[in-house]
Amino acid sequence: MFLQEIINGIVVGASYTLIALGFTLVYGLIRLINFAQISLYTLGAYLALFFSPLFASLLPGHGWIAFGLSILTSGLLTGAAGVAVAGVAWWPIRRAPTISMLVSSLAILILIESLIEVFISPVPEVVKPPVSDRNLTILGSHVSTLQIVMFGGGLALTLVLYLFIRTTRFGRAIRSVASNPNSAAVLGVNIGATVFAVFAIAAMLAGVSGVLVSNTYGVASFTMGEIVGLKGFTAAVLGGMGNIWGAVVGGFTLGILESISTFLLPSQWTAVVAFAVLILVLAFRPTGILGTRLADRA
Amino acid sequence: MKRFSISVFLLFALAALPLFANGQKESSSNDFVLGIGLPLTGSNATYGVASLDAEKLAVSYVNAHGGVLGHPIKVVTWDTKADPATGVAGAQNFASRHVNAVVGFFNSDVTVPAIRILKNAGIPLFGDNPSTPQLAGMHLTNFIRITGDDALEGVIQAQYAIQKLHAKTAVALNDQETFGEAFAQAFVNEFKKEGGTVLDYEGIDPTANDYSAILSKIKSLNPDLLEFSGFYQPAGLLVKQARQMGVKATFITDSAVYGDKYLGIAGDAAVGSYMTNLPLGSSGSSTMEQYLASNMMSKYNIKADPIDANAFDAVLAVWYAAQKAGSIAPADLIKVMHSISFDGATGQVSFLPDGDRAQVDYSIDEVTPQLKYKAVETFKEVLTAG
Repeated sequence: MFLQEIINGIVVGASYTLIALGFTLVYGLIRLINFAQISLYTLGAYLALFFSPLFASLLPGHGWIAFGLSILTSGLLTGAAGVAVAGVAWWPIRRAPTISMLVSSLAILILIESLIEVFISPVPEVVKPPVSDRNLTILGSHVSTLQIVMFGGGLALTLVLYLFIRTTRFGRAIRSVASNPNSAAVLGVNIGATVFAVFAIAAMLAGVSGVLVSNTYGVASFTMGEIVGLKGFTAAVLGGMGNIWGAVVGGFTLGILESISTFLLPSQWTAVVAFAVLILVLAFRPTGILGTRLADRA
Repeated sequence: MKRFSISVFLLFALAALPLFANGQKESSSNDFVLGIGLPLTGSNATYGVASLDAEKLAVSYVNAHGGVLGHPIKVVTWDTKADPATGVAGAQNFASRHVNAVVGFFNSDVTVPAIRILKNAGIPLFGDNPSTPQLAGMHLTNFIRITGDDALEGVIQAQYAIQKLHAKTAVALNDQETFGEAFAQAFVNEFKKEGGTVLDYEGIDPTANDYSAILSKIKSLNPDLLEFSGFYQPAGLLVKQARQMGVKATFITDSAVYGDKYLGIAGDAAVGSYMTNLPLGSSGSSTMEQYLASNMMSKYNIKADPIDANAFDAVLAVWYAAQKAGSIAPADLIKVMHSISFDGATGQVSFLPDGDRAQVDYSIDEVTPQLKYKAVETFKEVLTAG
């Protein structure tokens, strides 16, 4: 009965998930809610605004390759911006209270949005994806190819991230820092490098999400991250801050919840329902649906 | 801790840099100081930036013709960001600078609180595009506006939908902002009055990207007409996603959506959609209309639209008010502003005592397969309700 609504919710939830993953990774490691993550989502979208037409012109007739290269380039550059964010918002004040770093990340959010507004464009920009977006019908429900790419991309990145953290040496280093930074340092883990790398990974996820969303819907604006960023943060809390699968569960739960409540109620109630469920979940499970341990549950 | 304080201070200082863009140089005593408040950044910046270009053209025109009673116009701008609180701050800024008149503020929800400040300061506001019926109901002595009233535009839209599109059922959506809500309410009331059935009437989040959830509901309702009141971004996304999801309803929207951005976002999905519009001049060939159209294109590479024309005429109205008053004092402008009359880029301009235009021309435009706007119906010289 609700198949179309569930598909809609999954598609929207995929964008929440990628942002939630970034929040959860950084929080799991250094207990910082990195709001700068939101502006990196926007930055990713604007980088693609430049790279998509560039690659499309260099590779005429190969739209999907151009799109893939645009996602890759924008993601990597956003990752580099994430390192810069860590260098400014975390490294100089890493021994200050977490609240100080929180304020610092908020300042970065405002700064990056303002720079995009002043130097790139104060008005919403039309995004033309380098590929044609076709409509498909699945069991009578409609979905577009770019929406499938957004969902598939989100799922694939989550799996890659999970395997990276569970199976690689660097992933073990991340888990050991998340578990106990002092012990990790004694064991020879470079704490600074680990944190910088996690900021980069989180930024990359946000940037790729920005590229996918702006191309799927065809619009980018310097404030585009604000609402979806807060939803991503909410998803991370709902699923369990610090838990990778929690971010996934939270993202899709929030997306599906919004979609079904919009179908059943006037859409003004969507946010009310979503946040009422969040409060209920937290009342019974203060650590979110799946709890909060990056170290144990990756 | 000290390092933290410095870092955070520097970050906030950098983040606040764009705010200083509002800083203005004070004018000389010989100038006619015109305050212009517009959304130059933010979600409505597309309209605000183009409106400012049109207003600068009008200022150039007036200055080239001797200025306001010999006083050159000095423009002081304020970016409202389409935010009521920022707009109020702008009105206070204009009052403290003792401007002679203000043109603005594009957004209805910015204009409503800002005009109270200007009224108390004794400064006239020549409204460009604030179209909410609420403003006419405030019985303001210091206010006129070039644009028409949402209530009237919504009525025309509903009548066209029933009489020409033969729509019997409709879903009406709005962006939950002052303009969109007022427009949608007028549409819904008239649509029902004309015998139509409104299956659903609700607000949407204009900042969202994905409207598939509400469109699923609309698809199940299968209305003849999908009406949206608001601005181009949600309008473009709505019609695009509606067509992707197989919603067959005819899409109709308002004059604020008009422009290339809507077509860019919606793409081919815009074909066959309708919108109420305000044609530039009633004759289609007035001197001011031609001046605006040719100069907007040559100087700014912008195809002038009705919103730009309203902005242009708002500045001309200041000029004509000063000529009629024989003075540039704000109090004298207020005394005569409702009784001026001139031929502007939007046609013959004159006003009712409540500040509304005495006559406004409307059209219904359809988007052609070539992604162009084509007027399919015109409504000449509709008298406003007053």
